[in-house]
Amino acid sequence: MTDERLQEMIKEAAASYRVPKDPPFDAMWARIEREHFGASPARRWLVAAAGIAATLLVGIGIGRYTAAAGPSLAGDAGVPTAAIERSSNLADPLQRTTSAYLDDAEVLLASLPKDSRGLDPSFVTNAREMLTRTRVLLDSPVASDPQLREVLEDLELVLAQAVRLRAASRAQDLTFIAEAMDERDMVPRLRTAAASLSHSDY
Amino acid sequence: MTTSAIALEKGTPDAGPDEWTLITRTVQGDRVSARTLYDRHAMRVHRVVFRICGDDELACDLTQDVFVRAFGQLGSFRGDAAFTTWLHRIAVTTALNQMRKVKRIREHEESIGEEDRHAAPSREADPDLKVRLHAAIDALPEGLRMTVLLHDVEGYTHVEIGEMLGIAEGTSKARLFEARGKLRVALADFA
Repeated sequence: MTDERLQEMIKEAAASYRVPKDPPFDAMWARIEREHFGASPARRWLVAAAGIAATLLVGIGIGRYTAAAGPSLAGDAGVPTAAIERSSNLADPLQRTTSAYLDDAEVLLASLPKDSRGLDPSFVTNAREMLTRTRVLLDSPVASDPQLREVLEDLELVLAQAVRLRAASRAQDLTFIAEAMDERDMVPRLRTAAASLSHSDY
Repeated sequence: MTTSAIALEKGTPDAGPDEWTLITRTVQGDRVSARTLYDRHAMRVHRVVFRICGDDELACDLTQDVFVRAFGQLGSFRGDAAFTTWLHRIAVTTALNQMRKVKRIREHEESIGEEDRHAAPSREADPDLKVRLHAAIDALPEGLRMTVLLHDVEGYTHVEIGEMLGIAEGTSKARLFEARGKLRVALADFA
């Protein structure tokens, strides 16, 4: 048999040599993502739940104490009506926490420095804390709202990049984060989400 | 099958960020970029590891292992070789290591009939040429089989195969020559 003939035969047979079935690519990605990017949502929830529960308990406690001790908010001439309405709308503690969190996130992202020389170490610390809160909220009932969930997921991506910033980070790193924020229209969407949350039940 | 995977399979360029940008962003923790890299390469990686191991379930596990390892080592990727070559080197190494483990287990479990199992089947048993050729490729020693598989089946160059298997380009050529000689003998009665 000549080399040419053999090569021809191999070529013909190659197309049918051990052809795999279509694998479940999305399901396979789930394990890759979990193993590379961190613990499963359930585990993250368990780890971080204690933190958010403590925050909620303190908030509820303060609220009850001030409600029992002080005069009615409606009777205070210095408190704007809109603030009173928002306060009463956000009766659910988790909803209140989420609304405050969205405000904090907007402030944090707006403070992203233009270059790494202006990088305040507290920015990264705050971003890390915000990332933890984001993941907790993603695993909470708040994330059952599809639009809010999308905002939270995009925010998680941006924050995951932000926590890797160092004083020696390249300008390109900041550019990537800024681009990610722009592409996802992050700050305006956070503002909108906070506003809609304060005027509706999720 | 994802759109990107289909595009790759058809050999058409995939729209979106260039590979180096995706790699940089993945190193920085961007899941979307990591997923895009996965979409672009998963199908071919899966096909290569399946052709090495021949088992659907194992190929899925190995493909996942390959990407977990690749993303973990991505920070050390300097672009000396093409990303595809680098990734497929991990794929080949991961699959071969797994197959060596499987082979050790089988050797431990089966001490009788091993020679018969690996012998090229007779023409009477497998009259179809493709079946005979597939069996002959399967029966090649590991180093020769990998070279035939990567060169003749997957279409890699000897330089790329050298990078993937950690051998010289000349060694890859010599292995292919030897493998073809063995295949020619196995298929002699079809000439």
